[in-house]
Amino acid sequence: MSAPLHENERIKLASHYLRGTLAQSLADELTGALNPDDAQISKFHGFYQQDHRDLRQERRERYLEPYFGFMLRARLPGGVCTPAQWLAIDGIGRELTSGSLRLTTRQSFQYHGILKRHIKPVIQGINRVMIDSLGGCGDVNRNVLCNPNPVESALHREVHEWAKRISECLLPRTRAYHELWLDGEQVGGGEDVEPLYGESYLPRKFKTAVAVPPHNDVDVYANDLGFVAIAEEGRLEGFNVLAGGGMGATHGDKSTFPRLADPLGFIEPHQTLAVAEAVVSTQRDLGDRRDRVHARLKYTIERIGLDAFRAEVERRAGLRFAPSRPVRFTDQGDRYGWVKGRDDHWHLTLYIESGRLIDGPGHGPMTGLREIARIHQGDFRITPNQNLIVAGVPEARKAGIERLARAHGLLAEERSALRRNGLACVALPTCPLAMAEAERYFPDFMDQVERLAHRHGLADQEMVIRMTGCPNGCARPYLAELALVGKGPGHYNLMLGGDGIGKRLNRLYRENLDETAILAEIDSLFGRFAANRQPGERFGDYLIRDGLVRAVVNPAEDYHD
Amino acid sequence: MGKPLDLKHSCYPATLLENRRITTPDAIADVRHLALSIDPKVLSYRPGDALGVWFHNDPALVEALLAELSLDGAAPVSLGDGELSLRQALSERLELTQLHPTGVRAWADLARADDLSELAADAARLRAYAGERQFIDLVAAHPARIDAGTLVGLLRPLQPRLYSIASSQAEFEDEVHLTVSVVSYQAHGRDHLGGASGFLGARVGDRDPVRVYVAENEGFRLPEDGATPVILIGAGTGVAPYRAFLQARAANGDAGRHWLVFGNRHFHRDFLYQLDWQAQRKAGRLHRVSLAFSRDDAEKRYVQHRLREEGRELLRWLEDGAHLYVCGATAMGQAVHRALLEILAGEAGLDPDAAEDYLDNLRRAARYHRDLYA
Repeated sequence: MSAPLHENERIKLASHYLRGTLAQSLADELTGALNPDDAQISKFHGFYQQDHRDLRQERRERYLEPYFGFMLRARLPGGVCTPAQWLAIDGIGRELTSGSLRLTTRQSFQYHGILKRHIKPVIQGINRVMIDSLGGCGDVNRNVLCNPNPVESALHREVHEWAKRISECLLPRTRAYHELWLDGEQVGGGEDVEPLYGESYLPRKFKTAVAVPPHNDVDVYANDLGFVAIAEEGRLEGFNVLAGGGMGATHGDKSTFPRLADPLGFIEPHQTLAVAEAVVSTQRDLGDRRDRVHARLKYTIERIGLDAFRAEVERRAGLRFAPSRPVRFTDQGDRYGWVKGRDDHWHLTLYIESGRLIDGPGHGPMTGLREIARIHQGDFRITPNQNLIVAGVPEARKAGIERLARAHGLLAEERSALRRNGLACVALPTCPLAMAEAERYFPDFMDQVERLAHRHGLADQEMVIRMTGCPNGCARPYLAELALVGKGPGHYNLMLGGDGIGKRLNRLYRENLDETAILAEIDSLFGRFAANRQPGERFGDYLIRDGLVRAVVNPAEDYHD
Repeated sequence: MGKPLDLKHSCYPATLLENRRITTPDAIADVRHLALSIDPKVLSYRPGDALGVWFHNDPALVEALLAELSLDGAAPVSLGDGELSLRQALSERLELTQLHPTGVRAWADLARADDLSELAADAARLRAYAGERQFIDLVAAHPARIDAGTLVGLLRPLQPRLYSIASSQAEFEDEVHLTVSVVSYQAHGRDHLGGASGFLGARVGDRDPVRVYVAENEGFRLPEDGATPVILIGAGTGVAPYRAFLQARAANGDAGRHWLVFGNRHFHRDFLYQLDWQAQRKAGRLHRVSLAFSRDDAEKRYVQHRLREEGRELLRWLEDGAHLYVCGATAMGQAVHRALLEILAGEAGLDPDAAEDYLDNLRRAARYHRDLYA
């Protein structure tokens, strides 16, 4: 018995290499939306159709369609951009979108509330500063993460170059993006080729990250494909390759689970692209195209087994993996404040709550960054924790940049250790998947958590706390020591037991709790932790040691126990 | 805004079924979709017709006027058909919200206001002055002591207001729908509310009878032949009759093509009946849509701009025998007329006289219909 292909497969195949009827959808004045099929294809071009969910009912009663707006996510490998690019990104955000910007957990920026007629000007605007949004969303490789560590300057540059090469290598080759948005010449039917993806692209989204130990800020184990840089005395030796990580799960469906990537082995740098292509093509051919819930690479590997998968990748790449090199990770958060790089330049990591850049009354992070960009001569690096690094600052310019950062509330120094390591996804009101609040609610929630931590003498405790509005996991909640995953309005699953370095999944501790119940649980757990912790012990590790949470060993087997 | 009175009177007591704001809270205009319940055996209308609406003046306005003039609302007055209180006369029988130039002239004499008399001598200034004010603004700015009888003699009889009907009885047999922009603004130191629009939009309760009659509009009818294509041009609440047109043609199963050209301020705030137009298109009845939202972009674009852009297509439709309809404010109608002349000159190569002749011929052939109001 074989189930039919998923509807999205038909849409992809019929889209003629991602053109669909997007041109007609854009020209249709009667609606701010796209044709339903085009709303799938648009993702490959980097934008998602959304609507203001708070307004749905009211607008229907006024005989108005939902307030449609588009979220556009750029491709920015490793999150690096220049001050000139930043000024363009900022200007477009203020003029052609909802007026704000969001730094994403995948080291990119995204705009919200773009009207249909402004999509093209937005894409043309970022294109003028050499940024595109191809593959920002959709069933292709997404923005490639790369540790933004600017301290090991030469090594970072080398590794970041590989992140860019991987991103380029895994880009769709269709001319549709140029035709539709950049007024490129139309290419007649049949001339497009997608040597890697084919006409149906991948069964599902695909995420790649490059980590530079000891920092695991990219959460490399949460990605479909991971490269862990192995360096000797600041020189890149090669990568440990990982495959099959992924966060997404579905409430109530025990056949779904978050999963950490498995090691495939060690490769030398020159083998990187061949391995990336081989992993992608294997997933292209073996991934499940009938059931999108099980279409990610992690389920493919569960189905065929890691050894068979590795063998297939080796065959396609024409190489053998060497044994993985030993690696030690120490953290998954950011390192705030000034640090000095090996090239004697300084780097300032700013704190951006939930990555949200919007100017409010008396509070102007967007303005602050604009002013910094006007005088800054190094580059900017968006971190996988939704923060921003002002990188490559000569000693003489430190004071000026710090003054601006402080004046606009961009420094982490006044935030607690709890808050600094927080992550929250966008969720309501724009994300169509959200079941509960995240970004809008997170600051209030953290006020409460800080109050409890203070009560138990844990005010300075480092802790990774994350919140998402649904189980799909954009803010990588399953790798947090404490996470809330949205279940319904005002209700969350409380997840506990991550290790603070991104190598252990947490586990469902209590289901479908409201705020009062969540805070009561945290109050009690903080109390036990404060009384029983060992020196230097993390909250997540304590919960496992004390038996309050059982560690996840093999999520396919034991995640739902 | 109401339209000039059609004198055909009847006084059917309709009741309000629905009063729904269809623009967003941040829209400039407060536009209401009103549904009135009627008995189809008594009241029947055809697409294109208007509904005459009798209304009562705002009690707050009546009291403010009484106070301004220091008059007693209980004072008896005579209106020719018997005696009633001054309050009732002001509320139900006399025009308070539309100031007529003759009223200004008479008040200038009563108040011995020289500046006002001087202004009243200039017809254009007088018209502009009256157009921007209600009676109470006049008496507040130029106080005078008068008695109740004089006041009643000064004011014109209350006139009903006409609204294009936004529904077809083929679809809503026992209802009549109106699209009413509630006139509301601050001026001369007080809040102003339109007479009938304020009555319908803000004051009528769901049990109060609304006295209405059908004002036939023979100059604004759908083509006899249901297969004839039609171009429907409207701005703001001028789109109302087209909702009726499409409902009627849908009910008839007519095969004619429809092209809607609609303008307003903001796509997201005041795209009146957007869901209706979407449903009509989905049902295969709306074949072309051209929209102009004047405040969405730095450059203001109106329906006439859209028509010019689509001049060639417009000519094609006219060559196919399409009827043209224009509904909305007079200024919009004039701008559309000029745009049509330009299209005929530019796309069809007609000289100015020939272009005028072309439109005259369309009009004579009952293919160019206009329903315009101040």
